[in-house]
Amino acid sequence: MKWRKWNNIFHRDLGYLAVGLTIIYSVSGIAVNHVADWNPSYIIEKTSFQIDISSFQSPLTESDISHIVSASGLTGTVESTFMISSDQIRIFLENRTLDLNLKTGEAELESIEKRVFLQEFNAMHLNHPKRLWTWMADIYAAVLIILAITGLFVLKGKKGITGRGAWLTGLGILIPLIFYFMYL
Amino acid sequence: MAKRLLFYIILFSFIFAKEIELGQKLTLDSTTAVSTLLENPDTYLNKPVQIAGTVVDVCAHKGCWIEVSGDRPYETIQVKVDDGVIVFPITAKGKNVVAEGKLEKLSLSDDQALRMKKHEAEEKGEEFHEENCKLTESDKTIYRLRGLGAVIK
Repeated sequence: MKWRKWNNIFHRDLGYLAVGLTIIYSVSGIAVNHVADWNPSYIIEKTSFQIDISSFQSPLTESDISHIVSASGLTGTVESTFMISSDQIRIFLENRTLDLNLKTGEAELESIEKRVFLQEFNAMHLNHPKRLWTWMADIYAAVLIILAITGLFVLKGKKGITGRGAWLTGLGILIPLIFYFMYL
Repeated sequence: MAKRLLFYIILFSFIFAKEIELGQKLTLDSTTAVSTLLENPDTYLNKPVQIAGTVVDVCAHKGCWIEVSGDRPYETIQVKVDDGVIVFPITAKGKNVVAEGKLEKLSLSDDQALRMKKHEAEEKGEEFHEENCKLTESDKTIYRLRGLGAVIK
């Protein structure tokens, strides 16, 4: 039938178009799905060490802060500082945060590093660019719907929607319903 | 080749150096000091306010809150957003922020306050020892901003 030929051409070409975005959305989907267990976009590492604070006196001067930074083995410009309490200072550098206890000299350094690809994938998935990307994401969602519907009619006969396809399609609809009624 | 590389470095620096706008556009003309909000919270409760300060902490998992420094020593206020509506990047730490939202009050029972402290510790990847936790009034009555929009500079 002629309509099936066009259905299949439509399904094939939209499928090719959707490959890139499907990979981005699905990889990011897995990453973001486990957000309770990890930060899907950044690797956050914390290290603890001791700093000799005997030469520092409160209130700290800019020179004291520079000394603390170099004593911690850090380089780069101090972006800002914040006194968490009278004896606890937080020093911010690019993607690094240093917490120092001014009484004990206990220091904790938090370093943030971008997860290669995942950070970019998640930014696109979670629509950080906004603007035209919002429309692009809507179009992609519409393409997925079209792919799902045209996919039903690619094959005819026993393996098509009137045979095996009907059972598998039914199962695919049933799975989310089971989980919905089980957990919600 | 070197000129072309330099051009791209400058171009990308320009693109990535700009402000990060999150959520709704800021609409208020002036900021309110955090100390003013916390001194007279009832005056501002459920009203839109704008604050400015340094991002001193960010929710490490979902980016669903930031802690913003106030104008008085050691003082901060939390800007909480609905999960996924705004995702504060963890790289915002130490940056200046202007945020808008409505001031809200949380009145927690001892049990709720304890669970919140435990949850916060988990989010920060810190150990929480319930037996050592002594709750204060500020743990049970919390004022925070329900964030609607923010600009990180």
